Amino acid sequence: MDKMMKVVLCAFFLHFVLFPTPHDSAAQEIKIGIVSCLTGPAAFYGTYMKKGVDLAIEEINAKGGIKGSKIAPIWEDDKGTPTAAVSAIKKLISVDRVPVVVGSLTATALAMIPVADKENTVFITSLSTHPDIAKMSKWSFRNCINTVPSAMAVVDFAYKQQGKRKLGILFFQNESTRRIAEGVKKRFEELGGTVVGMEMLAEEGVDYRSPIIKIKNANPDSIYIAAFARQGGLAMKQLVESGVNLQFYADPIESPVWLQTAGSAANGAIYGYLDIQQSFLDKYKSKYNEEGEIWGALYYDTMYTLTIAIEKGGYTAEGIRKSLIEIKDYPGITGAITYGPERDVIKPPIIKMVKDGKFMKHQ
Amino acid sequence: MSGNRSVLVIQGLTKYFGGLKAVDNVYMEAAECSITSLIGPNGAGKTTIFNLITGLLQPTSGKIYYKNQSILALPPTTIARIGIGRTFQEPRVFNRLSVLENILIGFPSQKGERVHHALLRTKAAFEEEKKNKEKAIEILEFVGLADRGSDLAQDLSHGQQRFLSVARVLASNPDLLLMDEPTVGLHREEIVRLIDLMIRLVKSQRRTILLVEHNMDVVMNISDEIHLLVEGHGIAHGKPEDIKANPKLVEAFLGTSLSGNRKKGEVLCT
Amino acid sequence: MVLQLIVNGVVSGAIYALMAVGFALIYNSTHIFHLAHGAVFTLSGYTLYFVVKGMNLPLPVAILFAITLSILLGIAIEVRGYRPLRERKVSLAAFLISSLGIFIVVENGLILLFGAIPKLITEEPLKAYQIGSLVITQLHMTVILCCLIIFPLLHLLFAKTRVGKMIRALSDHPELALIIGLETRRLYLFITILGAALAGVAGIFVGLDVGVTPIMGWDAVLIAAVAVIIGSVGYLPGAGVAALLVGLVQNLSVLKISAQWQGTITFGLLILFLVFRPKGIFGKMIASRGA
Repeated sequence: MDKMMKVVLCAFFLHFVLFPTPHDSAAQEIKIGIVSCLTGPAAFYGTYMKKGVDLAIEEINAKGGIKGSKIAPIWEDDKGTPTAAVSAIKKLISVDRVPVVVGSLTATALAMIPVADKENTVFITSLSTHPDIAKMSKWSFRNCINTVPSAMAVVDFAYKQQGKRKLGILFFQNESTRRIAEGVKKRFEELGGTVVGMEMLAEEGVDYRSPIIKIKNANPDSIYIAAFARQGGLAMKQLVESGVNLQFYADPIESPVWLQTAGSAANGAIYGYLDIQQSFLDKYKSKYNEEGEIWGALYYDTMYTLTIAIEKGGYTAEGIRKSLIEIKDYPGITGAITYGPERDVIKPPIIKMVKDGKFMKHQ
Repeated sequence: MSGNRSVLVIQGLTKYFGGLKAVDNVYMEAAECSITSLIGPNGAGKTTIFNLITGLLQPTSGKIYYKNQSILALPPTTIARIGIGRTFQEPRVFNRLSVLENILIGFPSQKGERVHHALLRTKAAFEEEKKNKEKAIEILEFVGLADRGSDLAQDLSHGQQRFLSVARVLASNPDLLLMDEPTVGLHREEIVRLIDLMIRLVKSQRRTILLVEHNMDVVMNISDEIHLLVEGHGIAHGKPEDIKANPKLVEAFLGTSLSGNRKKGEVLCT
Repeated sequence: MVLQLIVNGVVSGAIYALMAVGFALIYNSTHIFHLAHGAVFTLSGYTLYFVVKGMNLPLPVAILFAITLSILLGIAIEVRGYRPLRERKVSLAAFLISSLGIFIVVENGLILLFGAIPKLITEEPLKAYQIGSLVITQLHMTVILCCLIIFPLLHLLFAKTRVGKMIRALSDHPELALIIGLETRRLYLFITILGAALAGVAGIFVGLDVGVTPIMGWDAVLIAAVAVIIGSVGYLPGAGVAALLVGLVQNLSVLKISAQWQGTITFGLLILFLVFRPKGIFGKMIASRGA
């Protein structure tokens, strides 16, 4: 036997030692792949997500896990970049052989879903609010409502409850925020209002005073801001600094970054999103000694729905997929969970607001 | 030698650039209050010698003494400060400074030199500046630029810039002036004025000039001592008469004939 | 609205000018494409953030800290970064790489210390005054006021003082400056300190206005470089005037085009100048040497 042959055989042998078949491990633990932005510019989202996931898994495992098997999350850091996300999900599927991968932001989700689709692996995110995420593949689920329904609820509220008729819109230069802005404009005009101006917040900018002055000059009676946390917060702050003291509406701003950036300018801002049960907030507070927030809560719910799906359908991709679809009105802490025909969770948004630097239900 | 003591003494000066001998074992002296000229074809090493004296280059071997003190290994700034000034082939002036400022900047170490003094503008520095301004105007008068003081140097003609660069060097009150082809690009009338200026520098201001010059009329007219250099070697040296006495030598190396007519018996710096 | 846009343009322009004049000061006298200027700017912003938010000290103390640290970084860049290179007479490319290296080190250091997430120093909206239809924040008034003090002082420094003349001489003809015995080492150091202090002031203003991010220096230094080119390389006031112009054009452009193009406009302006007026606005003020 020549040397080459030995090497090949050794490699073969090692392969079985190092990468046993999934069935062996499934007996002991349930591996769930998680790809998130644990570092990088969006790391704060990754941190919220991890806190929610960890809290849920801790509880589930304490109660005996899934049919006696503990849940073992395998975390991969994508730094918020699509390329890192793709190699992470490929690793999770081919090396760790997980049947389900939990994702995070829109940018990385858009890159990972085609991989999950090709490899017949369940993908679920609770952070991406892009309208198409769940529609992209029969394997793709989403446990947060996308921003369009919540934005619509806010527009209705503004027009019907608050009597606003002249809306100015500021939106961040990004595909998903632009779509929200366009949806808002359409809905507001259908209701009979006028959109007096629509200005873009440039991606590379931090000084939004020029678009703000253009909007101000159009004389609106309220402002809708479709943007991410930092840009939206800066826009709110600069609106107030530019003398625009009107009612602000925004798409989900439930991120401390938005509040940190906008400061007191955010007080009174109205947005639409999901409610969080007090029981979760209490548990969160006692574990992390800080206030709970929506993204951690959504991932907490996500882990519970996955647990139910695995218990019912078994630890296979097809089983999880089927039983996720079958879930009806599971009482999550962010509202009753049902995945609709396009695998998007159906939860009615409620009107919320910022008051004294805190997110709360609008009274 | 006119019997005066030597301001500058160069012994066995040698500079190699890689394998090229730019200056090879050159000996020369410049007597106080005299004009010593270096002549020779292009590439004879004249400018290199200037660069060695002013410290811009370090010699491969040899010695340079200024007022009996070795100036080897001194940085250019120190050499400038102890009294060796230099003008270049092209007039070097600070284009975007006014004519007057060009002189002011050239005044040697003073209270305003230290950055913090200049910032704090102490009374002493203020008075010194006033004095300097008067001195600068004097110098401008001396070189004939008194009426251009507030103009930017870049607005002067080429010839005027040449006189300004001499004036700028004078600000540091050098005892030894190295002048590198000062007549290049000047028209006849300006050359006459420049010669006059050089003679006044030596005669009335008691300075010493080391001159590199291609214009043989000028060289033969005003030099006290001439050194002929070829390819880095000192070929011959002596008074203009000695050099003139051997016209073939000069013609062979310079390709020009000599027709100097300096008045006999005129002695510079009596 | 036009008036408001002009005022805003003047404010952005004034901050750009602080950066641009510092950059030009260093570029004109050293010919170093001083990217690390952006590092000084960023460090100043973060120092302010840290002293106000981390140490809970009052703003004036933080400002003092920020300027001091900016100057120290400037000195470090000059003494440890540029001076050894200059004395070894290396090519300008080496300076550029060194400068870029310093910038990246500082940027990544700040990411390690504070994370990549943008930080705000003033969370409350800035106090604003209404004059007719014009709204201007207290900070922006301070920016304009500071510039009205800083730039005339700089002008006096360069026109009247001896050190100013020495710096102009050094920028004009570095070799000659050395020959006539100017203490170039000291002058380079002084220039760096001056430039760093200006970048420090700019960093403070931007930090107070829109907060700090580790990458904030890039835009700032690039706009400064653009302003230096538009304002004619070698002419110090030109950089300031051009920076003001960039600020005004950026802000006024929203009258005709969407605000998303603001960044593009800066470089569009640069390209326009490079094609039609390569010597910049003040090209005539600068004689080409030897001509």
